[in-house]
Formats: sequence, C-alpha cells, structure tokens
Amino acid sequence: MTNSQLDPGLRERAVGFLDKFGTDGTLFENADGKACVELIIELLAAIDEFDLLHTGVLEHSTELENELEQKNQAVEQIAQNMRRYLSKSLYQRIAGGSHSAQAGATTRRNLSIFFSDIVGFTELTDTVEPETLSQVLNTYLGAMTEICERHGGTVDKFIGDAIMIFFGDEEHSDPAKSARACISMALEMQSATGALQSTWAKFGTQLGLRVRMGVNSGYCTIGNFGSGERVAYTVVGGNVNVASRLEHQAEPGGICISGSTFALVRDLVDVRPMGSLNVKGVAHPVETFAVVGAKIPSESNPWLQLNDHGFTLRSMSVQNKMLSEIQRQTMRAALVAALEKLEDIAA
Amino acid sequence: MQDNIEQRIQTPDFTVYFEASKQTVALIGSLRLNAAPEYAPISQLMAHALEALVAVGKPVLIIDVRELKFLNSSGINLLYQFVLKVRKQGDIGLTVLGSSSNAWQSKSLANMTKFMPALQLEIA
Repeated sequence: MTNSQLDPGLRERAVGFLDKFGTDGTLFENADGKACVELIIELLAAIDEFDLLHTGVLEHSTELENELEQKNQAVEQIAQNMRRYLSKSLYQRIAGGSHSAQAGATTRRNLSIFFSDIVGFTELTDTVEPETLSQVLNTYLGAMTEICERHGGTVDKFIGDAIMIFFGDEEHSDPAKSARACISMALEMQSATGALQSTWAKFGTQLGLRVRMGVNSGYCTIGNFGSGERVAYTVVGGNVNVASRLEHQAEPGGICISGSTFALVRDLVDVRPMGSLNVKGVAHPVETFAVVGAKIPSESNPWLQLNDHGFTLRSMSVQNKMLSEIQRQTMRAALVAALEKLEDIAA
Repeated sequence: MQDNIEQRIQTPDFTVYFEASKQTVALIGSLRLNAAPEYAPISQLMAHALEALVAVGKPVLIIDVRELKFLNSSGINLLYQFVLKVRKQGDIGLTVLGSSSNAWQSKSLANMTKFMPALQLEIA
C-alpha cells in the first residue's frame, strides 16, 4: 500500500506524549491520567487501522476507475469502427440507445427510395486490375455517401457499384420534405459524376462514369429484418421494387422518377413523361418521368446557391462527350439564373 | 459437529454462501451494492460463519473469491473490515482464494496481508 494519509506530525506528537508519560501511564499519579494514556494508545491503534482501510479502499477504487476508463476507451474505439459500417442516422440511434436490434421490430413509413447503378460497371470489373477497381469504386462511393449524408439520407446498402438510399425514416418526417431532399441529392450526385470523370480517367479506365438513378416515394416497411443472430436495418415493399425498376428504366446519366415522387417535387425539376411501367407485385401501372433538369430558382440546383446577399456559382468543368442531358440542363439553368441575377444588380 | 450449517444470499448479480463442511464462505458474481447498509446481510453471514467455525474449534476460515468478477469499494471495505475482525479475534486463521483472471484481485487481495500478516493468500 502507499504511504499513510495521516499527518505524520500529529502521530509524532502523540508518540512523544507517550514517551514522556510512559506507555502504561506510570508517570501519572492518578487514575484519570492513566486512563488518558490508555485512550491515546487505543485511539492511535484505531487511527492506524482506519488509515490502512482508507488507503486499501482508495487503491481498490482507483484500480477499478482506471480499468473503467480503459474499457470506456475500448468501447469508444469499437463505436468509431462501427460508425463506418452504419449510416449516420442509424448509428446515432444505436449509440443514443433508442434503437432496438430485435429482428421483427418494423414500422410502416412514407419514404423516398433511391437506387443508382454505374452504366457498364460489370464490364469494367473484368478489364481492370482489382486494386484499380477498388480505388475507382471507393472514390465514387465515398463521394456519393458524402452527398447523401449532407442531404440527410440513409445509405441502406451498397451492392457492388449500386447504391440504395432512403429518406424519411425519422419519426414525424414529412414525405414531401423527404422527396425534395432525395431529388436534390440525386441532382447533386449527377453533377458530381461530372467532376469525378477526370479522377475516373486517371485510374486508366476507358469507360466514362455514367450513372442511372431511380426515385420512388410511398409507404414501405422499415426496420430490422433477419435472424436472431444477425439483422439488417432495411426497407422492403412494393415501393422499393418500383424504385429499383425506375433506376433500370433511366437513361445513362439520367434520373427516372415515379408519378408519386414527381407530385412532391413539381416545383424543383423539369421532367419529360416516359410512359407507364408495370412492376411485378404492384397492382397499378407506375407513371414514370425523366428529370430534365433542376428548376431555377430552387434549392435543388447544385451549381447555384442563392442567398440574401447574392449568389455562389460553383466552378464547372465540362467534357463534351461525357456531359449528360441532365447535367447540361442543370448547368445551363444555373448559368441563366446567374446571368439574370447579374442583370438585376446592374438595373 | 455442525457441518450442515449452510447459509446463502442469492440475487441475479451475485451469490454468497457459507458451506460449513468446507469451512468456506464463497462470493460469486458481481458485487456492486450501494454502501454499507446494503452489505449488512453479507456482513452478517460472514460474522455467523466465523462464530460457527470458532464454536467447533476449526483452525481456519476460507474466503473464496475466485469467481467474484467485480467488487466495488464498499465491498472491499467489507472484506477488509472482516479480515481486521478475524485478526483481532485471534482464535482462527484465514485463507483467501483468488484468481488472477479477475484483474482487481492481485493487488486488492495482496493488501489484505497488511491487515492480517498471518493471512494465507492463494491466487491461482
């Protein structure tokens, strides 16, 4: 044990007193004096005992506290690693203790579901080195995830180069707000693929980066699906299948949305009707629309941000061959709006 | 001989029992009760074990904490007080069985010999 916590001076004084009057109190002439010396001896023994107890318990608790702190750090490390495997919102719910990991804990929500897929990626996997492939894919998925999180979406899963994202799994979330956030995200992702072209080419891939996207909005079942041992927090239902089909339906570099999504984002985008689509397991044909570009002014154009004091126009870099119609229209709308703003200032 | 004396305190977190035939008080599980009053029943069980063994002239009491995974400060205080009590009583020896797989035991059990130098400590 470590040294005593007792003031050493105090003990020395008591021992000095005993030395002076004899440990049996013989130098005292009366009974009270003797009793007093005996009491001091007893008190000293009790203090020593107490001191020992105090020090022992202190050492014990210090060891426990230090161990606790070490364990906390280990848990924190695990949580940091876990964060990278889970979506931000799901991680926050698990870490906050409000999420149950029981299989079967599901609920119905009005969501917007997004699917994307790189055109010709399967061919690419056969022609480039695995290291190049993982670099190319991770750069792309990293950029898309960052955009998704900025718009408040939850990455449900990556399936190779395909991404499934949903919006609106928070309680009391507004379906219109979810759809608008989802469309804004999709438009920004399409714009970002333009910027990724050069990185993509640097890896030595001959294939341009063109992505198909599909968005559908409606009621889905969301929650934990799986066994007692292993569950996945995901979304299922006919509306998920519709979103996946819309993605396949989209043109390379395009976004295909359903009538139910379009109804919620009418003021954000210009569209071109693409007819109706029959989806297995869904009773009615689904009206489909190709997004032509973002309307201006709207919060969904990633190139132009308007504010009270003016506007910010992001730098554009165009490779003619690679520019999709949606990219071209969205850039054009941003530039036209920016020019109009400049004219307004001059007037 | 009162070899059949057996007392037990059991909760979902811990078990404490006295097995007279083995002269043993065993503490198992995780002891994290709040302060001395909550530890009183355990303290009483140990005091009873001591009395019972002294009454039949046993030379030693064994405290087995090999399966005690966790013991908080109030708990170690209880054990230390008990060791002091046995030393002062002077009519019975004390053996403590610990396990190095419980991180807290190597140091905190070793400290018991400061309270009672004659205590036998066996950490496996």
